[in-house]
Amino acid sequence: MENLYLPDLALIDRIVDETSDTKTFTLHFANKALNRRFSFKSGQFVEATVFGVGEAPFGFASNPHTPQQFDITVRAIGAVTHAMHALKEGDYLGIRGPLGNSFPLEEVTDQDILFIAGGIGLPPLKSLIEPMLDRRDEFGQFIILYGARTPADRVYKPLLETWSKRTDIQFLQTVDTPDATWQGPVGVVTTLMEKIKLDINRTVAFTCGPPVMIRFVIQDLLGMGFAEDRIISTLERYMKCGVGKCGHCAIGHKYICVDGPVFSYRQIKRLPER
Amino acid sequence: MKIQTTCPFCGCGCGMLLEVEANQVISASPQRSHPLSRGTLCIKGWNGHQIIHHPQRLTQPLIRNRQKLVPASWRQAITLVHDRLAKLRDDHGADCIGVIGSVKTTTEEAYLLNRLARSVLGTPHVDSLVRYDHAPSVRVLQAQMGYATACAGILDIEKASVILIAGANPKAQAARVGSYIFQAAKRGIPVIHIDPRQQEHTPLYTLFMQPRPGTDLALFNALLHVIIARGWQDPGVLGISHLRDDGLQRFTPEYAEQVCGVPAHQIVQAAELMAKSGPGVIIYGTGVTQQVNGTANVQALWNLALLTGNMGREGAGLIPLLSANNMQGAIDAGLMTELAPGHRLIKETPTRHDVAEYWGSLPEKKGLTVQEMLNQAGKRIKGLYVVGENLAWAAPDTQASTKALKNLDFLVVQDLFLTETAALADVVLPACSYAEKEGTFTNLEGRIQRVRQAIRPVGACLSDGEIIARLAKAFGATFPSDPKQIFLEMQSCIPCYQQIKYAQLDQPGGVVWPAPGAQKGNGRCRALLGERRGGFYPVTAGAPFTEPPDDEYPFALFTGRPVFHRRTGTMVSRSFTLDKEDPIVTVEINTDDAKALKLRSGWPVKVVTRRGHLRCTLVATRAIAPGTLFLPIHHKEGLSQSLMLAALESESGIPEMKLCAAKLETA
Amino acid sequence: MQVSAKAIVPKTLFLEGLARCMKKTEVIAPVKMKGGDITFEPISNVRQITFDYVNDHDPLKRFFIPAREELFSYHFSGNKPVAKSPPQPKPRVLFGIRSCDLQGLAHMDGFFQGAFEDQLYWQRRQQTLTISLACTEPLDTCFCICCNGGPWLEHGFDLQLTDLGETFLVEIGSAAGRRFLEEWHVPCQSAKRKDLQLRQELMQKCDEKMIPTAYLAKACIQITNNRVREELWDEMGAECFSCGGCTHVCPCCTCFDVYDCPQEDGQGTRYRCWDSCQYAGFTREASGHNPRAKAKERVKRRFYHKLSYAYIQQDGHPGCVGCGRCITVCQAFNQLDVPAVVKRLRRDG
Ligand SMILES: Cc1cc2nc3c(=O)[nH]c(=O)nc-3n(C[C@H](O)[C@H](O)[C@H](O)COP(=O)(O)OP(=O)(O)OC[C@H]3O[C@@H](n4cnc5c(N)ncnc54)[C@H](O)[C@@H]3O)c2cc1C
Ligand code: SF4
Ligand code: SF4
Ligand code: FES
Repeated sequence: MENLYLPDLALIDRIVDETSDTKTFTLHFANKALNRRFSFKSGQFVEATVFGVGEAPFGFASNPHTPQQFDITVRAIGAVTHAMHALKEGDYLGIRGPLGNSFPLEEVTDQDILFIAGGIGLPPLKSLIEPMLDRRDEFGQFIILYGARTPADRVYKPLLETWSKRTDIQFLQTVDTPDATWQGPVGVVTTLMEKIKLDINRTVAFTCGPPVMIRFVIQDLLGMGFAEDRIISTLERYMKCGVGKCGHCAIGHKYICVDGPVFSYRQIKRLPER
Repeated sequence: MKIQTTCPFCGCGCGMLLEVEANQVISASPQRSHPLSRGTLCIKGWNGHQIIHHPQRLTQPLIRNRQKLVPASWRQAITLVHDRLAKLRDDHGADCIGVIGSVKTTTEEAYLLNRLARSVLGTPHVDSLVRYDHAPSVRVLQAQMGYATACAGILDIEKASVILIAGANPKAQAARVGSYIFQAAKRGIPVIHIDPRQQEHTPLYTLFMQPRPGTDLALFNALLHVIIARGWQDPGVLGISHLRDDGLQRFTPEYAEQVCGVPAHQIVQAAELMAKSGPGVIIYGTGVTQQVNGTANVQALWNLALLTGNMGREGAGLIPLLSANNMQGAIDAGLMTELAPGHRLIKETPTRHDVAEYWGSLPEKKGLTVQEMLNQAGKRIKGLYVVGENLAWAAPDTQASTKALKNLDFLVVQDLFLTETAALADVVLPACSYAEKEGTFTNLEGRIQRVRQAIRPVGACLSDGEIIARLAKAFGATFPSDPKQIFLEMQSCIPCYQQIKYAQLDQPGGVVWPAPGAQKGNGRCRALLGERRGGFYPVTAGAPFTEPPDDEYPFALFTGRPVFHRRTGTMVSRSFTLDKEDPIVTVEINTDDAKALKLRSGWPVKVVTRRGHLRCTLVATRAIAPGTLFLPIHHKEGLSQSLMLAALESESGIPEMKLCAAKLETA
Repeated sequence: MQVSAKAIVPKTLFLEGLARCMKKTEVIAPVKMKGGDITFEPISNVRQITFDYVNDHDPLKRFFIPAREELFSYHFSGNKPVAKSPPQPKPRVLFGIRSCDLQGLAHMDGFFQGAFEDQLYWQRRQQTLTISLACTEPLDTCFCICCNGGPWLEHGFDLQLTDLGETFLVEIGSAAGRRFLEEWHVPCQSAKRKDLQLRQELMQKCDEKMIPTAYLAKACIQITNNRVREELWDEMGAECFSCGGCTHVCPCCTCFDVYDCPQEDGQGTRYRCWDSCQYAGFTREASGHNPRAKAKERVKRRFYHKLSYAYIQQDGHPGCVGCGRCITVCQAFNQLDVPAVVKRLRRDG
């Protein structure tokens, strides 16, 4: 039996500024053996420790095919996240993981795929989009909708650029408040749904973002006639242990950190509180 | 191991057990055998202990060296404090030094500080933060009874047939009192609640009267008027025949309705409940004291208690909800400039005699109050010694008080943490927490209880008492050091403590002064009053608001205390669990006002007064009346105090901290 | 010496055995504090033990999940953090523990195993021998009879003692229990018929004295099917003081929070401490959003966890053992403890 709460050390290989308050950290485990055997799935998360400050959960933001180096994208919002932003390349983080369940992937081959992401909700979806795009021909239509507050608040700008150039996927983005350079659509992400054509019976929708956005997206999808188990979302709760023990993330008798964070709407609907 | 001690987080004084492991306090749990708390604690009691080992605890003395505070030894620090204070005294006379004591340290420490200030330093300017919360209570109760204390016990609430709460939130400020009121309400005892803001428990009460902030006096007087006019008064009240001429006629329920916005029929109903239900307890808090009419309000409530026959019987009396664990102890020890130890006015000669026997000498007159000292900082007051209070934040008009502290030649602060006040000091002396020392706290009903040492001091900390004694020694005076010895000396100077045997303090719940037999909660009033009843002195001329709302600042802004906080939050915000309870500063507005201003709950707004502004999140609610705004006090993220007035009430010197004019802007 | 599963030992001799054990192993037992409170403490003399108590106010879970516990400590070597698990706990004997607490322990055993085993819990658990005292005299707050929490147990103890006056009836629940008796030379005789009969009578009497106050069934049904009127939750939420006492004293409540305590020299410790689902800070997210902002939602949560079928099925047991502590500890006097709420839900539709 091991100490569940003892993090392993990971080295920060690279830090990329995404927006004014968001950075992507590329990490690998300091222990070579651990690094070699490490693997994760799309949708899972880690608990990251800044020693002396605390620990917080972050979804994997990179392709699970290259687990020997992985990304987390972090928005500075409180104590731990600000402390992470103050770190430099070559510094250490404590990491526990992979934790949580994962997105269905094999189960949705042959289907049309719709991603709807808002703001900092894109990183976890990216860990699914990338392996799917590696196997692009196994899926039908492939649509990604992304909304952010302002053009500058979009994460992964170079990647978004390559996505918009690809012809085998439909990538649309929108912002709430445009700036002088913005030529794309303006409005919340749900307004993009009017611009796409879907076969709801063969589409699986994945959504991730702020709770309010998720609520509206799900409402719209249901309105379009989506079956409840064709809507896949993530739930976020204040988390501490990540291993189903501290009780913070419990909704009903489900523990988001163990039974989630990925749920179909059918499952979400059954939870006694929302 | 578990050590039995007294909770230091509010005036209730619940019994608690501290669990100790490897010289660290790891938990607090309730004492089942405690007569008052009976195996319960509130959220602060359960979690407040986390402050003891907070990483920000001061662990060694700090001395200002050029602009920075640097670590020093105790010898250096004490010598420096002595040298600087002595020099100030030589240059400008003893009364250029001010001393501000704490309502949180033990009574023994309050007493020693008083002795140090008045007999060793020789200054009359010694005061404490009782001033900011309950100076009017001290003034009225001392004048009426000779004792500035509650004339009912907390357990009288269990025996009362009617309860009146005015300007207080017992559930948040003194949870155990709140719990007894809750129990009474559940038993069907009528509870009358007077407050500009509805609280969670208000729906359980019989009657809720919502006066416009600051208009309580008219409401109280109207209650008196109705009782007298209808002949409902207690037959035992003397001088009833001339009551009619006392200027109360004006305060008809209809008049009060105009002034306060409380329906006249509610006033009549409340008067009838108070007069006819049987024994009644009146509980009031800073909502009625921190006003221009603070003293008049307390006097009016005293009158009400008297008129309804609620003085001197069981289940009855007047309880000021003292807002700190040892505010009563600080009063007992005379830590207010007009008082000597034992609730006697400093100007009375016999007092000076028996105190002088131990102290050598003490000043003949009262000195400056806290607020006056701040106003005189850099002028008459050159040096200030502050024990255990975050004065910069506790005082109204934060900017002005911070500036005042900076004007001093020399500032010494004794505290657990580097508070905003300590950060301005020339010398910072690290003090022990309640878990690291021995002594007594006296709760809001006069219950003297033991505080027991659970662990060795953190770092190089010394108890406040030890620091004071070392300083006294530097000045050539010898103070007793053993807590029992101090208590015995204190008893000689505090007559109302004299009947107590030290060993009695060890029993669960300690002893309620003056009568050791009175701890069951009955008879405190009788023991205090003896044959006297106190006087009925209607105060009918209320002073107007200092700063009424006007076209530019249309809202009446008032403040209150959220449950997680205690005083300036120095302590509680450093408990990990309590700190996360309440991270966001909110301002409350009436739902209709919010609609009219096209504002919604959750929006960021700016509260603006003539002194400053504060960014916070808006909450629209029906809990407060139209035309008013409500802010929590001393929130670490947003100091409501920075917005408030420092205008002083003339009678007791309490600042009018509850009320001022404000406007809202979108942020 | 072969000891039968039910043995009889003179009390004094059992305590002598315990005293012998104490020389080598830490013994934790109930002692009476000055004011009359009972607390479990390591003892140095069996005479310190008090038998004059039914259950202690604060639950024995603190010996397995302490109110504050180190998760690990760390220091830096250069810019590299080095984290270290806390030292292994030492073996100990927990004497005089009551059935309800032991049942609570069984509840926690279930919770702390599974896919993620909590090593910190299990180390303590495995190092602890439990000697429980079956109850013969319930308090008026006890309702273990409603929750399968006592007054005596069939299993879950290493040794269970029943006070028969001069003797203890000793029931052996595990190999470790048997080893204790052998190692410390506790002279056991097989229990006779009359001993067993006496015990039967005591149990019966205790049962009769027990006033069942928590008729769980209806409450479980109402909660499981979300049939409780919102107004009733509103009412209960408004009454709650959010002190957290109910969860702190509950032998089944396990929730904790985690925080770091850094020191100036770059070393530090990460602790976990008891947390309460009754606190607003329990679910407040970094964005400021709080899914259980109202006390009402938190009270609802507490009872969902205690009494919903979903949880009973998952844990194999309701989240309550009937110790009655939440009755004594509640600031909302007699309104929000388990029997009170069960009663309110039963009368509500
Ligand atoms: C499964 C899961 C996956 C996640 N993945 C990601 C991810 O990939 N990327 C990411 O950036 N985040 C992610 N999060 C969210 C992330 O975990 C939190 O942002 C993080 O825990 C914040 O920790 P902190 O210590 O910095 O903040 P804390 O210090 O714990 O909390 C912030 C504190 O600051 C205050 N505060 C902060 N914001 C506000 C506000 N808006 N209004 C008022 N007060 C405020 C609050 O008082 C709060 O207590 C994820 C969360 C979960 C549960
Ligand atoms: S009510 Fe007051 S004394 Fe009692 S536990 Fe709470 S803070 Fe402490
Ligand atoms: S003990 Fe009572 S008042 Fe305290 S949180 Fe629990 S239910 Fe609420
Ligand atoms: S985060 Fe601790 S139980 Fe889920």
